[in-house]
Amino acid sequence: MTDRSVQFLALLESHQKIVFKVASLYCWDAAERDDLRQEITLQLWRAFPSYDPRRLFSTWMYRIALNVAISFARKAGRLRRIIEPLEDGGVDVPAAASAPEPDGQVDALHRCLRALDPLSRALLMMYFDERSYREIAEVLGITETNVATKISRLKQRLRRELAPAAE
Amino acid sequence: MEFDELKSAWRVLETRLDAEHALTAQVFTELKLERARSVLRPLWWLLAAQLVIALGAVVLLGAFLADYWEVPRFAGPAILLDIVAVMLIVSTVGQLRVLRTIDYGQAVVSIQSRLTELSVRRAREVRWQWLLMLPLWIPLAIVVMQGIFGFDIYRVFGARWIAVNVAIGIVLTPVVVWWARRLDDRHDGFVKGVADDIAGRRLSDAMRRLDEIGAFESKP
Repeated sequence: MTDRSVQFLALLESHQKIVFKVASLYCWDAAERDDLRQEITLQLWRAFPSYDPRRLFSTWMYRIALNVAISFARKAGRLRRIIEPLEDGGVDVPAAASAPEPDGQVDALHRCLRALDPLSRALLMMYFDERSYREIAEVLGITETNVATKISRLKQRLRRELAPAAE
Repeated sequence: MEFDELKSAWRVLETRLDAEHALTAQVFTELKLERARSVLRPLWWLLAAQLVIALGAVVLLGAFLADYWEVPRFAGPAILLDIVAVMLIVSTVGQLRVLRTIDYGQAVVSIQSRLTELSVRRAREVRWQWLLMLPLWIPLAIVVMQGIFGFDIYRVFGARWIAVNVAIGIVLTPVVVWWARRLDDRHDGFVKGVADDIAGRRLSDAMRRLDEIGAFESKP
């Protein structure tokens, strides 16, 4: 293994959760999710020579993972529309490993995320991930003010949408 | 359910993902990394092939025009085809230039916006390619038959036959658009794909996405 591979592998291992999260957010089907993870990993490796070590690796990784995932999901969605219409209950959430989890909440989360456009989904994911507004702005390429306003609006929207479910 | 509960649901999901860690490192080493290609490579090849074909057509049409410049019945169709080929070259070069600027390491909104602009351009171009096929097949036949086989379609079939076929092509074009718009989602495969191109469904889908990105990017 070359030095470059070793360096890449170390960074990938310490940030691999990003790949998993992004893939789980844009692909509901387990097999497609695996493909997407591989695709993201390949594109990260391919773009690695252009990575500037002075900048946060996570920011760079988010950018690539999200760009690949959004393009991948659009293609997969188009194919799925041709092959078979996706049913409402077709979300394939990663299964719980052991103890029973509050599946209702996770399902609600998936429903909410799925209803959002791909960019808002990315925004909310990074917010849930407790990324700073600055990093979110840098990943998406919008201003911090815009991030703050959008998050506030998304919260309002989701609160409104979640309210009837509680009744 | 409250918004904050979504956050705790996210934590649950994170725990599940931890358990699902199918060793990215292993995936990484098993992949043939040196063969990693841009996800946009197929489009690049498609556009490159289109450019080569269009350039080839311009060269061949130029040679044909040089031979038949003073014969309007052959020069006319050749000029028409030449104009289409040049337009195709301009459009293809424009798409290749956009494609060259795509770097997935750049900000998501900017890259998605450029990719969607590319989709709009492609959808528009492919739609025109299909729509021009019906009225242009006669000029194409006139030039190809004369240029390659020395077979004069005017002499063999007559001007009336040519006029009727051109007219049929022109009349059929809106009929094909009407058919494409009527084809619903029960159909699938290649025919549905062509119908989506002709009806402009792919174009409007790409334009809607572009509007969506623009709205996201614009200041609140």
